Formats: sequence, structure tokens, C-alpha cells
Amino acid sequence: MMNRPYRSADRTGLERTIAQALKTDCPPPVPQSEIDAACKSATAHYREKQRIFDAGFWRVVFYCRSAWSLLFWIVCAFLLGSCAVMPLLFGPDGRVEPAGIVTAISPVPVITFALRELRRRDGSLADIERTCKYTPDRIYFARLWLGMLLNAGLVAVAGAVAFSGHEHIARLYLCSFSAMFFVGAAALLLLSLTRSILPLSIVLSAWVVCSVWLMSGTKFSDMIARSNVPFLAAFTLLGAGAFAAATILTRKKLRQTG
Amino acid sequence: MDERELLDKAKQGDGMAMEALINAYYSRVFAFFYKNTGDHHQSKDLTQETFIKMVGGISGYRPQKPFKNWLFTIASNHLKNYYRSLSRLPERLELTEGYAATNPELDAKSDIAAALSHLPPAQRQAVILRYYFDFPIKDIAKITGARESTVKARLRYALEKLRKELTMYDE
Repeated sequence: MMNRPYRSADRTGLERTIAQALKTDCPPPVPQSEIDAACKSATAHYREKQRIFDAGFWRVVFYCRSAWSLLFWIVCAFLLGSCAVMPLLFGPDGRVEPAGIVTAISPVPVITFALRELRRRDGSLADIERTCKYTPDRIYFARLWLGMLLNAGLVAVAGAVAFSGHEHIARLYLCSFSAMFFVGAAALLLLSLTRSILPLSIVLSAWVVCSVWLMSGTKFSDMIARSNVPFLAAFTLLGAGAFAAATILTRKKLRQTG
Repeated sequence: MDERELLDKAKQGDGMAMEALINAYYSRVFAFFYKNTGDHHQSKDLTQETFIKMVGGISGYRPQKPFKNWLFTIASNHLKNYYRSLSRLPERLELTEGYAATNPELDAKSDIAAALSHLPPAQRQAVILRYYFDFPIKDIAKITGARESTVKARLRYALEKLRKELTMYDE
């Protein structure tokens, strides 16, 4: 019995005494003005911060873009459009193939966009990313996919001009989209694994060499004409999967490194 | 308007609903800090900061848990952070360790307040939540992030110390 501090009957009594003593010993009264001040302070704080916290995800994704983004996509649209239209202006005897140019250039905007978005963060945008309730990796993930969709849109429009009258239009589109997805995936993988611009520059350079080959003579058209549409469609889907996997890996890396 | 409606509105960013909730709970949260720290000004600051945290996290509140428990969890965590910040300042640590002897506010306090001030912070908090706010042990465990057995042990040791202290005052 020595180990027990008190018997249960005493303990109940002691507990009752403590509770009574605590309740009769009231804390100093709080003036209403103090409560009002606390209300104002808390709600003002909410308005300052919570407004951003509660913003919808897509709103944050769109509003967190830099002014540079719009200009970038206008320039890309102009370049792709030019590439598609200019060779047509030289006529059918020209040595340059518009289909080859579009396919060669199709991954370039998304790579440049990813490079810009992942490597150079604006200070003001980083502030919004920190204060909103969504993690930066989620925002960048959405932005990368938006970038890819915009790129696909541009390629579709440029292709409509460049591939017009071509007998293998479906093949040409599938080939352009495959190039866009695979090169985009390779760029993202390199960027997230090495965190350096140099390997990405090598990928871009390699792609330029391939582009020269694609654009020279009629090799590209012949290759396209010989290819199988279901095989090309499967290849495009595989490319989309590779790009999705690369964005997930990039997101994971961003989460780890911030 | 009942508390659930107020909470729904507050979660949607309604300032009036937030103010109503703060009005309803301010005195209780202040009392929690005051009984734990024994410092009027510090309790006022801690209470205000707790409500700022409350409105900051209101969108994450889930109605499955009683609001009072959720709010006291925030307050309890804030109190822990406060004690932690004190432990980083050696000169202030001395003050809290010698709490009863050096705090002039305590001179005019009752025996129970003086006895409480001699308890370690975790035991003091458990006693206040159990006997002043009448929280069940299960809820105290959730609020303080401790196991139920730990809370029971804290209460047992605290009551033993209080019994000795209060008997001493009686003598």
C-alpha cells in the first residue's frame, strides 16, 4: 500500500478539491475591447494570407506564370508558323521539306519552356508558391503538362499548314507528336537527374543534327510513307507515357530539392 | 446560429463567423494560457497567436473532431512552442523555473495557483485540462499528443504533488 499515493476514495476527494479550487480561482476578466482586437487581428491576417491559400488550383497555376510565358509562346507560334509556311512559299521544287521542319522543331518549345520554368524562378512567383496551399512541385507538374498541351496545339496548327495536301498526313502528325513527347521526356529526365543545363544542350544539339537529316532530301517522306499507322500510333502513346513518367520523376525531384 | 453553421461559414472565409467563434472561445483559451503560464500579458499574446493559427488552418478543420478539442490542440502545441522558445533563452528559463518566487503576479494568487506553478509544464497542462476544462483523459491525450497512459501518469504524479503542496499551505 506504500506505493499508492492515496486510496481511491481519497483520490476522488482530492480530485474534487482540485477541480473546485481551480474553478473558483478565476483568471482575470478579459475586456471585450481585447477580444475585439484579437478578432480584427485574426481576420485581417486571414484576409492577407488565406485569400491566397484558398485560391483554386488552376487559378494559382495560371496566375503564377511569368509575363515572359505569353511572349515565349507567341514567339514559338511565330517560329513554328514560319517554318511551316516559308518552305511552301518557295514552291514544291524547294529542297526543304515542311513536314520534316515541323517534326524537327516540334519538341523545341516545350523543352525551352521546361528549361525556363524549372531553372529560372521569378522571386514574386516563388512567394505566391510558398504562400498558397499547393506545393510548388504540383504547380510545376501542372504547368509542364499545360506547356506540353500548348506545344501540341501549336504543332497541330503548324502541321495543318505544313502537311496540307500531303498524302500521309496522319503519319506525319503521329511522327511529330512522337518526337515532341520523346524529346520532351528525355529533356525532363536529364534536367531532373543532373540539374544542369549542359546535358540538355547536348540533347538539343543532337536533335538539331537529326533534324538536318530529317530535312535533307526525300528520305523523311519515304520513311513516313513506309511506316505503319498503328505502329506509329503506339509509338506516340509510348512517347506520351514516357513524358508522363518524366514529369512524375521531375515532380519527385522538385519535392526533394524544393 | 449554431457552432456547426459558424464553422461551415468560417471555412468558406466568412469573417463574421470567424469573429463569432473567436468571441465564443477567447476567454477559455486565455484561461488555458493564463493557468499554465501565470502571466497575463504573455497569455494575451499566446491567445491572439492561437486564434491567428486557428483562422489560418480553419479550411483544414474536419467536423469529425469537436471544434473545442481542435482549438485546444492548437493552443497546446502553441504552448509547447512557447516553452521551447523559453528553453532557448537561459535568462528567461531561470524566470520560469523560479516562476512562483519571481513572478509578482503570483504573490496575490491563491494556494492552488501557487501549487500549480511548482508542477512541470506537462503535468500542469494535464491538470488544467482535466479539472478546469473537464476534458476526458482520452481527449487530453489527443490534445497533448501523448498516450492515455502517459496522461494518467502525469495526473497521478501531479495530484500527489498538489496534495502535498496544499496540505503544506493548510499547515
